[in-house]
Amino acid sequence: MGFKEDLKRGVAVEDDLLRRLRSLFPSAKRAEGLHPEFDIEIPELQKTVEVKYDPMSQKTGNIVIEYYHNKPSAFSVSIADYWVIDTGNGEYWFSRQGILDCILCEGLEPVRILGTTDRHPKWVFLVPINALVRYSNAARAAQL
Amino acid sequence: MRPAEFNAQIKSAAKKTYYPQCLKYIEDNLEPAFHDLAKATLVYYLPSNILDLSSRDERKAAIDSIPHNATPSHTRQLVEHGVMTLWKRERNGI
Repeated sequence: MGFKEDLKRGVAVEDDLLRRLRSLFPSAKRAEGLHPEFDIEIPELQKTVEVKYDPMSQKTGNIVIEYYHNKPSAFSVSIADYWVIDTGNGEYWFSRQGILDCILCEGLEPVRILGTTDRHPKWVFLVPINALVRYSNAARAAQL
Repeated sequence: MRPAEFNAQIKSAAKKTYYPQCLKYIEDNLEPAFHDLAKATLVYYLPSNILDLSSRDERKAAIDSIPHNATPSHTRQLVEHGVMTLWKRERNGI
C-alpha cells in the first residue's frame, strides 16, 4: 500500500473511531484547524484522543512512536489523554503515560528514520507491538 | 552525527542529572542544530539517572531543577512520571 492509500485509510480509521465515539458521546468532534496536540475531542468527558494508523507494524512488528521531526512533534507535543493506535489488525488504547512507561521500562532507545516522502529525518522509538500491548488500557480486534 | 554517537552524548548529558547541568553539557558538546533534538531526547534518559540518586530529597531537587516551561512542553511532567514509574517497578522487584 502506498503513502496516499495509507493516508486515505488513516482518515477512514479516524472517521470510524469518531462515529463510534459519537454513538456514546454525541458532541465528540475532530480537532479543528492545525492541531498537533490531539485529533479528536470528547467534550462530555473533557478528554482528547490522538489517533495513529500504523499498518506497517504488521510487517515490522514495531509501532513507530515519533517524537521529533525537524522540531518536537507527535509524542513530544501531544496533550491527548488517550492514544489510539490502529495496526490494521486491531485497535489499542493507551494513556500517554502508558506509552512513556513502555519506552522507559523496556529500555528503548531512539532511532533516526527517513520516510520516503520526508524532507527531514524523524526521530522515533520503534516499539515492539508485543511489548506495547502490555501497557494498553483496552484493545479491539479488527472488524472483518 | 550518527544516531549512536548522538545517543551516547545524550546519555552523558542525562548523567548530569540536574537539568541546568544537562543543558550545559548539551550546549558545550553538541552543535546548536542538535540542541532542540537533544532536549526532546533527554526526557527519556533523565528518569533512570534521577532514580539513581541516593535520597528522596536529591531526587526531588533534580525534578525541581526542571523549569515548568522547559521545552518541549511537559518535559517536567514526563520526567516526573518516568521517575515514579521506574521507582514503582524497582520497588516491586520487576
